[in-house]
Amino acid sequence: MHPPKPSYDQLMGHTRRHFLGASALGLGALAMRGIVGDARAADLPKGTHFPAKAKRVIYLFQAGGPSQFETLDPKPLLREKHTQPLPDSVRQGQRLTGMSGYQATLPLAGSFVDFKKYGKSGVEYSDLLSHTGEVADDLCVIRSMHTEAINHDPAITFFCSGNQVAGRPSMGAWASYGLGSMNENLPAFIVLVSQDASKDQPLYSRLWGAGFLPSEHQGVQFKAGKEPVLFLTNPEGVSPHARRGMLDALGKLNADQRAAELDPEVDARLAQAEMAYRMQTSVPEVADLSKESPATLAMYGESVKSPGSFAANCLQARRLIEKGVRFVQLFHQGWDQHGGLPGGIKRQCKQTDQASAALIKDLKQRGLLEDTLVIWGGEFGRTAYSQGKITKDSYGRDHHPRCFSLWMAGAGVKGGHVHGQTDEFGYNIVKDPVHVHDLHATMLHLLGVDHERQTFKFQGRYYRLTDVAGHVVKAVIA
Amino acid sequence: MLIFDAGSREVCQPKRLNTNTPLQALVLLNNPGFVEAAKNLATKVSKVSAEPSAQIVAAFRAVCTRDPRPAELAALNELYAIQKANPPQFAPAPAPVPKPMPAAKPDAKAKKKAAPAPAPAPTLPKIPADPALAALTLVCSTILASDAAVTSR
Repeated sequence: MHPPKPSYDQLMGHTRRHFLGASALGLGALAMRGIVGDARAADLPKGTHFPAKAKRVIYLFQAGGPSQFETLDPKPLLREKHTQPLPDSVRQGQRLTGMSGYQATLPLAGSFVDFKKYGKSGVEYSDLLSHTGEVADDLCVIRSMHTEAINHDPAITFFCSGNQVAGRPSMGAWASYGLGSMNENLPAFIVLVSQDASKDQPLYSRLWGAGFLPSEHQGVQFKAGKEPVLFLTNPEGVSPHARRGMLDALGKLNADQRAAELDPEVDARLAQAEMAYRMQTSVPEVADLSKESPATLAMYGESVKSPGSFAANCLQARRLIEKGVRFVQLFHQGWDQHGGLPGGIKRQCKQTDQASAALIKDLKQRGLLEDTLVIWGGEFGRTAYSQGKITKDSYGRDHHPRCFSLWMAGAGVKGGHVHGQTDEFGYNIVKDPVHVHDLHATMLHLLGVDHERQTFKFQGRYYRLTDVAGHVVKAVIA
Repeated sequence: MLIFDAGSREVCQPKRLNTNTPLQALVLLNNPGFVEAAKNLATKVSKVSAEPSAQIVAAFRAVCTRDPRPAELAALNELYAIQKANPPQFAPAPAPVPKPMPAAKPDAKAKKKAAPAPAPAPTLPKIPADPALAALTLVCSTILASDAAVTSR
């Protein structure tokens, strides 16, 4: 009797499937080597193409689409013309959503709230953002953002991953992939979701997913409170020493599995198990807010004491980046004010204004603001006209992708600066438009990364966060 | 399932995204459900044979539906020997207590009503005190957390 003949695949060691899978990573790794090679030549840190101004990013994502008219982009004309129809010459036949497109008239809605000039720079903020106004001289407001999607999910997916269709790596995953971690005991990309927000539009973990990048770059979501990670404690009777032994055995099992399956994901799984082991000691320490001074806590506001609030998450974000986490992304839902906007946006600003400003002050007093980039903004803006019923003091606003505002601060961004301008109806951009791809390019630029050179080969082509677009907005960089 | 990024099942999902976080490793090693599973698997296979190596093979087969390769078996035998030589020590009071596994997602209305009631703090899962069974439990726990058990290809 003859022993069974080994199959062709076994003889070859690589199957076609694994060859294709592995070569995507292999070529990605080659591209990476190019980046690292450059870094060595110029004596730059790993993954960077030129000296970085930002080492870390905190992204305060305001999900739902905050209205620019009641926050960052004052439009006195809309107040004068409150309830009058939007001129066709302004709309120019542009597409509306199905939610307000059916309306017989599109009555203009003036902001119910006043704006004031703040700081030496005199940049205007609404009265709902009075705390943010206090740090006006550190912030750069972009009033000319625009995006391609008109509804939440494609728009937020586009903002978080550079593509409207889900499946691409998220911003933080690109940062983790390109630049790596600064603390091997914590993930490079951590996500915090506000528990005090009204959850009108859903969030999905793919918004912080790794897409086709190796999955150890995926964002890790921390939960509210002292135990941000579930099951952090070993079972009773399992000593750290016993756990170490298990991980060593697990390493051997997975190494053998890797050799048999030739799948790089096995490496990722092992890396994550080791990270979990280190997080068992690092996480309780970083999540313990009890050692923060009363002055610091007071700065973030009363809600900092409720675990998982936006304020608590801002403070947690500062603690995480202090420990060397590369990218922290907060999500605060509830900005989708189709109707009853005044009440809704008042609540939203109350939840976020003081803590956002406190984060800037806190980073500044610790000398961290100079190399930490902070961005505050949502996935699109809102319409100049009212959706649904408009009265003297209540109205709603529909989605508006053609112009909206956000602010960024720290890490080489011009303070007390306004970039871009919308027309006096706040409907179209008249000066210096900034596309989402442009913002991504600028963010990577500040991190020392050329957005055109940070690539990953997948399905036969090179992918970037900015796809085939994006220009660095030099005018916002000091 | 939330930690493993399972689909919400609100919409059709033709392909699951690759997902792999340290949180998942913690579930596999520390979640009471997995610890209990390891304990029961160990109890079950301990009756198969008196020989530890045969017990380990039986556990591996039960979880991974194949025999362990030589290198895998060697690693698990070694783990068993080390753990058996260091029997578990039970601390009088473990400091932090993990949160309970979130229950199946209730509908929005029920959630609103039920939200404020805090779940009672559970005790940590416990491994058996018997050194042989404890060692076998940790071996089973390691198998359950391994790529061969978790990933389908």
